[in-house]
Amino acid sequence: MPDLPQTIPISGENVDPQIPAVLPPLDGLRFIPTPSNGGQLSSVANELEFNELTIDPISDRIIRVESLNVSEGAIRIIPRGNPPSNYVIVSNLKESEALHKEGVFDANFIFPRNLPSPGTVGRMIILFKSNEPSTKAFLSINGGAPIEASYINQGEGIVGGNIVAQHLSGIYANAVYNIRVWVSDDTGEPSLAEEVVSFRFDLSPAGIDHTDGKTSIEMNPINSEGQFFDLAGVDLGDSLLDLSGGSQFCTVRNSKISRISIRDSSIRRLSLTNITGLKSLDFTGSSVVGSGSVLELKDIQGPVTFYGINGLFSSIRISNIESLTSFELKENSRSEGTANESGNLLSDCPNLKSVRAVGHIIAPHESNPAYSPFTLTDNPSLDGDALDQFYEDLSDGASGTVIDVRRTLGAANHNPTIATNKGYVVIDS
Amino acid sequence: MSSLIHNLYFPIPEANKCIALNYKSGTTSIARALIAQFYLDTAKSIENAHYPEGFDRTKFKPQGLVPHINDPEGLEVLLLCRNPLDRFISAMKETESFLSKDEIFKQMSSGEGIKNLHFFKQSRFMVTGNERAFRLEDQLEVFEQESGLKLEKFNSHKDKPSLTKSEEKLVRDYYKEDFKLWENGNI
Repeated sequence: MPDLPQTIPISGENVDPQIPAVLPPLDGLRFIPTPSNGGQLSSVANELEFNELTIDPISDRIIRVESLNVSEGAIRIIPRGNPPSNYVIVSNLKESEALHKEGVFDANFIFPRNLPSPGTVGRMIILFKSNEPSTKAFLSINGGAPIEASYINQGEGIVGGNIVAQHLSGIYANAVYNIRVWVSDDTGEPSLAEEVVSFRFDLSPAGIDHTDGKTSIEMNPINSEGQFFDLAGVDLGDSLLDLSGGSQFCTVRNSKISRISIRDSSIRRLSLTNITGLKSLDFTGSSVVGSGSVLELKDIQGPVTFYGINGLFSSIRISNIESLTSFELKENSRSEGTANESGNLLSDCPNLKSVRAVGHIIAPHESNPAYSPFTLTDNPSLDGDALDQFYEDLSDGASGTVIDVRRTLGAANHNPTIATNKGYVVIDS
Repeated sequence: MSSLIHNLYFPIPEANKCIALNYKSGTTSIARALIAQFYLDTAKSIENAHYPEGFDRTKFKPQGLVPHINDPEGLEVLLLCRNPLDRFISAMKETESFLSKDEIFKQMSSGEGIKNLHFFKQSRFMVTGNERAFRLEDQLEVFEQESGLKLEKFNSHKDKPSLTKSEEKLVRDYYKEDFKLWENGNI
């Protein structure tokens, strides 16, 4: 049982912002893409700096968090942009072993501004799973007395606990605060049986979207309808990068990540580039919205095992993955170029032995064949039989659609007539 | 959404330059010239490819076979810029069988813009100040000199779609940055 001091008042001027709590060891960091207004952070990494975590680098409609910087064992929130980010969400606590000890989420935060800031309200919401109506959520700041979250809603076993502004009024900018969150019954003792789903800090007037003045921003990480997620230059160690939050466009670059998971998401474009140490890429349970879904994997190093990837995406750009041995395009997908990129590419995979177009692949439109080639070049293990099988899988192509099989093992002994009879141009030399 | 889609560029081998992949503004000719001059293996592959009945290498659009880059950092960017109205009409012709005029104008006014790449704005390539735009209509020779490419004659659609006055005004408003770029140039 963690030690939870019961005596230190935490409100207002009674809190000394210069006295940090004991910093626990921190390791592992996990981001989950967000709904359209913020970021979620569910565990933290020691000495880990995040530069340019941009939820939406483009739209001024969406609040963004540009930097999450963990220094000296605390999570420093550095909101930028105009208007700056207003939310900090911490979620999936149960899987954060380093920070979720004996039923208590325990981490240190440095906030960008005083809570509440002048003219703001500021509040905290704890979401937790429970089917027990008596379950309650508690918050402790800097070891202060537990604050019981007030009940705000309940549904599907998810309970929202609200920590109102006055309980946060003693939090000042640029000082370390130890935050502990747990759920419990009437005893107030942490419960191992219950699961804190997430908690969030609102750094601005509660429920107000500064960007357009509308109220009731939906920040539920479970039912999010996110759009954009971009992460670069991070080392997540053995922690899981979970992209299940609902972002439709996810980009992860130049990072060391061992496990990536996407479940129950409506992802439309996933781009992973220059990822080292990857052991698993798990799409089990994922869904893809409509046609035009794009998977881009480039320069993936590591003994990666793919789960649930086959038949998921309709357009792929995959190159330089040593561990990839087979791939299936999505059934009923439309093989089309992805915006200003040429269509399906699967190349430089030394152990790739099979490419299948499962079910029916809709041919690219006749007016645009040049932008929709199937590029299967530089696959030294893809033999003639595999190529012929792929040709068999394809439906009739619009005249001129290109299948490029140069420098594959099977380029010398395949049967291009199978494809040309269907209207494809086959390049093999 | 189109803002998330990065620009593409053809690097010019042996030069510290690249060419913006600006659809409906000579990209087929540019790609063919690059292949003919620098990518001889690809040219040979196109020559020897297996073609379906009724199709041959002269109908082959080679853009997808030319190496391209996403980031032109350190390279001078050459942009062949076309009269935006002509380019728009050409894009309508290119996409007419699957993208209706109503849908195009609906997307145009949606706030997200037209999502088909043929309609992407030409001015999106003007990013770093290291770009030079050449009018396709009257600065092609300068473009050829600067790029080192000898371009073949451009294809031209027949039976092009027409626009009403009000539609044309919408197009001019939508592409106002492109018109400014095209009219002023920045060679």
